[in-house]
Amino acid sequence: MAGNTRWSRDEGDKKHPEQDEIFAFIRGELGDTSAIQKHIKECSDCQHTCQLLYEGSQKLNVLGVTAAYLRYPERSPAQIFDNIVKTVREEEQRSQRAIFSRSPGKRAFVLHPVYIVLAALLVSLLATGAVWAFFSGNINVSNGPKDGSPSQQTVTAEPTLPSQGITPTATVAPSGTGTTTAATPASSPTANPSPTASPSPIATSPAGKPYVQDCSTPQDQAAYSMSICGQGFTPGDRVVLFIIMPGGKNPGLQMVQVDASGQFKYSLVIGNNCRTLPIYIYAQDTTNSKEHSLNLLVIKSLAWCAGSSPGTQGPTRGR
Amino acid sequence: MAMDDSVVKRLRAKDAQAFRSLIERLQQPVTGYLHRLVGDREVALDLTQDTFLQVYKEIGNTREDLALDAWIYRIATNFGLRYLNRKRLKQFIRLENREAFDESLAVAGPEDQSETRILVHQTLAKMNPKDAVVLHLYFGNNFTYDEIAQIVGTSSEAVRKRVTRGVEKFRSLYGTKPAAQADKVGAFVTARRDGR
Repeated sequence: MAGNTRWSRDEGDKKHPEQDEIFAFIRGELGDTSAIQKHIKECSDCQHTCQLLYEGSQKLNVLGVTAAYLRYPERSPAQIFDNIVKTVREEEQRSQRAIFSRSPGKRAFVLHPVYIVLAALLVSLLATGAVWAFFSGNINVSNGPKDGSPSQQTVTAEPTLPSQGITPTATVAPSGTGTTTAATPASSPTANPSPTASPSPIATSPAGKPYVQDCSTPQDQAAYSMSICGQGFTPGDRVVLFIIMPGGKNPGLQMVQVDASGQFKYSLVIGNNCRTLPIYIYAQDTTNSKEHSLNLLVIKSLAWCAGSSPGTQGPTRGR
Repeated sequence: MAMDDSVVKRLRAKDAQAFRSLIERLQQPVTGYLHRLVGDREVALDLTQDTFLQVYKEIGNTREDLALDAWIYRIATNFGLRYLNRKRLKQFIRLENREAFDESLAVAGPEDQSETRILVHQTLAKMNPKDAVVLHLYFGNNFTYDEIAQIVGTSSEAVRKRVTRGVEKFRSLYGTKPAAQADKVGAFVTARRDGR
């Protein structure tokens, strides 16, 4: 090794050879030792380090002696090589057996990450489709009233807002005919919200079933709000309103109390923001979990929104 | 540690004769190194077998300019360290006696050094296995810093410092043997001297 010894300075700015340089000096690995030798003679700290490393080094030298004496005759090189070849062959045979023993019918299912991703994609697609179908404008009533009317009907309800002088006529067509209907869901042509109606011109629900509808008044419109009326619920029950505004801030769940006549009214402040449309409203009785509105009220337009058609509401689904 | 390129080529081609020669040349030193490192003769023999098996399987995946001996010692070191780590974990969980000592290490060498040998191995067993590895390679196998650097995968300078620090650490631990351990060593040496 070259004699360019590396030195470092201590706290008192005194130069000392680095510890591994002292070790190299002890082991006779340094070329030029004069400087380090001179320093060690004068420095007590380095003498101590030198002593420590020398003693450790002397003790550890027995490792070399041990290594020279150790013998392992119990396993010959040929034996080791034979074992290696045998082990490798066994591993190859085992892997081949594993391949051939796997019949197509009994192939084990492997939970590969790709399968998980594909399954997740499929589930999300199905969920998206279901949500889209649920909230789409055209409405499917699967369970109509049980009073002899068609059990399944397609209804698009387009009653005008009260302020616009509404007298919609209602016709109900059985599903599959493609006929559209203007009115409240269950073929009740009398269900016309009147602009002058106050407090709430609630349509008669089919066979007294729970039902929600828009019963806004001009006062509501002036305040950029709307009234939601429910009827046919069990008197005294508490009903939760699911109000969803995909384009605006969702009011979320609103709790209302059903009065003695089985009705309720809720005022929903919308604001002068037409991006909140459409608005979906659905009522669920929380006291009696089996009771809920037969329809999904869909508000597609608002009177104060430029170019909008009258408010749209209609039944979507039932129990 | 330099190797003829043709040897590596033959090994890569799975030449049986080349493998036999390799095992013949390295079996004893590698087993001795592992024996000193793990402190158990039988384990060392098994680990040597595993080392050469690994060499046989993986030699085809190596580069042609492979430093063969360093690579083999590296595999052996990894096996040894893995064994020591598992052993330490087992000892920690089961609170086993950590002072068990393989007597075959004590008897390998001049009789008057028996006590030193036992204490040296016991002290090394107490050290960090990675520090013990460089001390075994430097003092036991007489490898140079460059060769050790190839084996442990670091720079020559880092090995030099690690050896120095290891010696210092070893010396500090060597002087702190518990009384019970010293008695056991003394009894073992006396028994050997008396031929019991």
